[in-house]
Amino acid sequence: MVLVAGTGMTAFNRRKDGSGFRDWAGAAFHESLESAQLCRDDIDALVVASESDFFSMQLNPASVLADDFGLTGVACQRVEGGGASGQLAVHAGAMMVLSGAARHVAVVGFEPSASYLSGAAVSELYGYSFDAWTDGMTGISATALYALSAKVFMARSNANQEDFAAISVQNRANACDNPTAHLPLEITLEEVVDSPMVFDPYRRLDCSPLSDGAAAIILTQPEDAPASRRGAARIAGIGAASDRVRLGDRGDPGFFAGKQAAARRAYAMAGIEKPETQIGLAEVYDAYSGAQLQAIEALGLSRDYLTEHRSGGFSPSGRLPVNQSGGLMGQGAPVGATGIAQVIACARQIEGTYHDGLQLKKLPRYAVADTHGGVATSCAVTVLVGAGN
Amino acid sequence: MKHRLTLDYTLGEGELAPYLDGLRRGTATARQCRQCDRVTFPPERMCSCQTGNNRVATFDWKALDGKAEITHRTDGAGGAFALARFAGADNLAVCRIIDPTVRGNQARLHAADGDLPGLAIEILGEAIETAR
Ligand SMILES: [Zn+2]
Repeated sequence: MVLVAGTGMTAFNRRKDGSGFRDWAGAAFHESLESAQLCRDDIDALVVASESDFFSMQLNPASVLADDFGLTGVACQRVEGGGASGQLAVHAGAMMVLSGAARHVAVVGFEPSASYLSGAAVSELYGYSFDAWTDGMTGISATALYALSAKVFMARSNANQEDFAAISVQNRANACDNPTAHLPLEITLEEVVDSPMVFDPYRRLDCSPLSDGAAAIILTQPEDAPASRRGAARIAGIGAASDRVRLGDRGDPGFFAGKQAAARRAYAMAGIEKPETQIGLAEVYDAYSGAQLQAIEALGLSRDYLTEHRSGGFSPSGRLPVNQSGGLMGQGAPVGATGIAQVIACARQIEGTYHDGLQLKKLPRYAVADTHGGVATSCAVTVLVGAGN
Repeated sequence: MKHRLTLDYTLGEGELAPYLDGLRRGTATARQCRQCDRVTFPPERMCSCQTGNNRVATFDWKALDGKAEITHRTDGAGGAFALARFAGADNLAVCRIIDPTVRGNQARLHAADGDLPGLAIEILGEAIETAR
């Protein structure tokens, strides 16, 4: 198994201090190196996650960051899969360690999604992350596509707008104890339902924010880690899968079939046979409130997800806490960093070193981190496990 | 530091040119698989009937009458969009609704305009009064 020897991340928010993505990536990398108790010279590969050069105005960012980090000479590459970029980079790094191609891999994700461009420009660019030629050229936005998928899901599952709003409330409340979070908010169901309509059924408070930020982890085999870090969380399983890109070509446009396939691969690698009972924490891709329920369904995390959601089963005190970090809606979403931050949340929860107020009292044995690009088109799932398992 | 980038693309339409030509004229040009007869609008580049082999699917272009039934619709500040099934097609299409004030499930293809060359539909119904 691959050890998550070190973790580091910046705050996720909209930067107003004039700093840039190279500053954030450097801060996250050096924090992860320090927490892994390793030196720069120990790193022999760098994997960088970033969704789009349009956001950063920097093609080939991996070579630039290798130079910034003082890692000249290491193998470096950039991994991209839309919203799944961060976790796909984690997978690439894990495969390097498992294959013996590298001993210590730094995986660094960043995105300047908030302060570099206007929100309108970022939204227009996001419209091309689906099938740009067909869906994209209608002028549709990510929110409208997610809304159509959600409508199909609602018709099939009987989930309603209040179910979605409860997720917005919970994730923003969780973020209140997360010092790195972009949107720590104490809001009510009514405030969500009364917030301005973006695309029906999604209102402003049902949407995740555009954020700036960076996150980094150091991966290695347990025996190659400093003795003090050998008890850290491990990556037990990784899985990725794609779905039909266009919603209209899917058998059920409201079901995340690619996510289900990715999860099954990750569970098989981790030896998980019953995710609905074995997993103790989930960080899922809540780009929109309803997408969290769609993810719980596809990941197979509950036998009856709607009843369990309505009875608080996915709350911090429930059977399976979901998005304890606040998720994308609360913690924020600097795209390339998002999946890496999810892995960090899972690893620190398993180790018992997560933020005060959010650390689960009963340490989860298994935790699952879930991301996707498009409307669950390119999906990537990672299973983490404690050292004693 | 301020920086401005302006891009002006010329995108190669390739094998989907007849579909895009049709949208510009307001006619629904679908693709039909020669092996299994599946009709797709918007067209697919590969047919799922070829999953178990390494052959490239072959297609004919097929004119549909352009009528569509909306299955799901979303309205927002940026307009209205729908998942709709065009008569004779086996898949659904994501479409822009050209007049969001009109309600109804029956629609027909509307010729694309220059800035938005994608699929657009007009609803065959009456405009309704809304609060917006
Ligand atoms: Zn066929």
